[in-house]
Amino acid sequence: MRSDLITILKKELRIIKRRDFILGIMMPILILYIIGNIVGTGVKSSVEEITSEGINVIVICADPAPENVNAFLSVLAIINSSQEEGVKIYNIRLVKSAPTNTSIEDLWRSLSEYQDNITALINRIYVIGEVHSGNPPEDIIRNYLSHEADVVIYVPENFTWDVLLGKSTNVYTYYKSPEDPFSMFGNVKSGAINQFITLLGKTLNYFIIAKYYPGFPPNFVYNPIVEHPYTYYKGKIIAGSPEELFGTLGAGFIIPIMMFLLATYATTTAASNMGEERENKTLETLLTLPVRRRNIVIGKVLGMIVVATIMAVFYIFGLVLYMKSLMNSIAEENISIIGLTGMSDIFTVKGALLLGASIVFTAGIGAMIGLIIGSFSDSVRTASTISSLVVMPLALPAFFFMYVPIRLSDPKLYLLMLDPFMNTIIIMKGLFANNIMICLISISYLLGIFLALLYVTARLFNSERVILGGFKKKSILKRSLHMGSVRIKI
Amino acid sequence: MKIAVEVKDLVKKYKNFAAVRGISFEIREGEIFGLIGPNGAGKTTTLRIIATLLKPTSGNVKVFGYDVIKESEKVRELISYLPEEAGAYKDMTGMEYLKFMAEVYGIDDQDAIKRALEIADLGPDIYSKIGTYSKGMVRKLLLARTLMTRPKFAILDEPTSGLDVINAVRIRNIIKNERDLGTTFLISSHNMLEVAYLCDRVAIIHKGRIFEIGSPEDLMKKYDANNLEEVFQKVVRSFEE
Repeated sequence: MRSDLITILKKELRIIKRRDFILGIMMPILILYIIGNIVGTGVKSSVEEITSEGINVIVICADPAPENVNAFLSVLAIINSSQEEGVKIYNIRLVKSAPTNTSIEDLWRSLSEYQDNITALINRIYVIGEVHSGNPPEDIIRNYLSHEADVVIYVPENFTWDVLLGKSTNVYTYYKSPEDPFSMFGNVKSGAINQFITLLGKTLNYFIIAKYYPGFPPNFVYNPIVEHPYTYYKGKIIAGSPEELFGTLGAGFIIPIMMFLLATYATTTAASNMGEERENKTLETLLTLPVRRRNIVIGKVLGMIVVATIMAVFYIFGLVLYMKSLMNSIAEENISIIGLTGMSDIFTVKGALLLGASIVFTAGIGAMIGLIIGSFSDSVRTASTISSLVVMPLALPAFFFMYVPIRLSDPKLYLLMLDPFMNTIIIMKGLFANNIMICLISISYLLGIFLALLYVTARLFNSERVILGGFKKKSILKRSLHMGSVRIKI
Repeated sequence: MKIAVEVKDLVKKYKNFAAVRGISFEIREGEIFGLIGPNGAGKTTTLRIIATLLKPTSGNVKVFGYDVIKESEKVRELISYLPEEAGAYKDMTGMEYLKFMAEVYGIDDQDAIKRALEIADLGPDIYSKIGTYSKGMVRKLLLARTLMTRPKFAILDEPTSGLDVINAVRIRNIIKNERDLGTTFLISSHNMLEVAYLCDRVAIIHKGRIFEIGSPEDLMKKYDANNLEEVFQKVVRSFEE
């Protein structure tokens, strides 16, 4: 390698030491980490708040069935008594206390008696306050919700009757609106009440199972099957679900984002770099130095490859950090963000070489597109804007890969292969599927594009176009007035 | 005396506009040659062609026998070019910039850096970021960069633009001194006093054509003028008539 190339490369890599570059990569990581923690901690503290303070639930029971035979009150009593000491999820307050010592047998015996006497009891209406049969008493509900209640559950008059007839029965839930409707966690309480209603239903089912299948374990009905997942992977059976083994984010998520970032950073950074050379009026001097023009291009391209790779890796690190901080705050145990099972097959020597080469070529192609755009731009801003417009349609199909499963045999794959920024993903797929042929086709195509662009860029740098810029349609007189930062003086 | 630069029938057209219309001149080795003319005369285009930045439409230019088109890399090894509106890398300190340039030219002797520091005369500011420099400070740094390598041929477009009188005089003396040490200079300037003081010979260029070449003294005698400004006015007037 010629020493002038190393000198140019060193110059281009100075960007890494720049404060704006360091801030540019550190800030998003910090922000993602903070957001992850805030979101995670927010959810966690909301759940903790519910657990420690509980939700104030007022139950208005309009069911006329007496306490000892009332289906709703009986299951409520069991839930209340089964709540762990010190962990209050529901602070349930009834206007009339329910029997807490009701056994399943007692309950069903009573219910049977109740059923026998149902015609006698039918006209008795269990009234709380001014409750009338028919519509829920909204005045009373409003009164509770305006004071201590978070939720009011209205149990209609036919609740027990429906249970006895084997019909789905109803409850009406009235929630207080969240204290802070702008908070993401304002609706956590309604979620908890949904679970409570489900619990009520389940408890009721316990009674039914106990009655009709005495001695049969009710737990079996609810959890008849416990899954023990295994994954078949390349001839091996590995314990764990694919999600556990291949991660929550997985290669299908991380790699397309990484390639998107790599392509956009390489292109926009190179374009800005050329825009900066123009804006700071350093380009003319650079091009008269005793350095081969080809080496100026190669030095810039290599510099941009390193810079873009660093940026992409740091951003992915930030994303993983975000997911980890978010998930770790919510869940107690560690959650696998990126499973390494799939990766281990890709990071063989052959795989690493293919992948490394494709990343270098992809970033290099982006850098050269950026250099060409930058050569025709009059300022950093113009260069950045145009390069973003050009690179987006080329880099966005990476997300297509994330959501649309494409098999290696699919002809659409070859269409995507035409887009140079997609080839690293195709190579990863090929490595994963042990399809070396597709990897070789892809890497050859990338190499071809890389060399062709290198030739075009070197030619551009050897021509006067790089000095004159790309304002072909304007007359030279107009150009002489102001051609960006490079004035054409004649 | 040997010929350092040979410009023959040089034409440069941009689309339908001819910026340079067949100019010819020679620069002798070890002389300071000035190119004087109004805005739009074709000075910068000529300098850029000699510096290998632009390609002539026709004609040829040789620097120490090397063709600027066919042997541009060889030419770039011999020249040092200071554009009129040049800048430097703002994220480098003055010292880092000089060291980078020394590395590019493959110079590792401390004398070149010392010489550059003397020419730049920036004191402790040489260790500050170039982004904090004034226009004059940047110009001094760039002049130091151009001359630090003791090039065989230096092309200076408006060398003292943006400098105060004291610094301009100092730089002129440095240029003369470097000429005495063997560097050949091509200077473009609007400042006729500067050209008269500095240049051994000058060429008067107007609308892409050269009208006169000679030493300032000879030209003043020929046009019966007290200074180069008068010479210039008389030449342009005769052309207009």
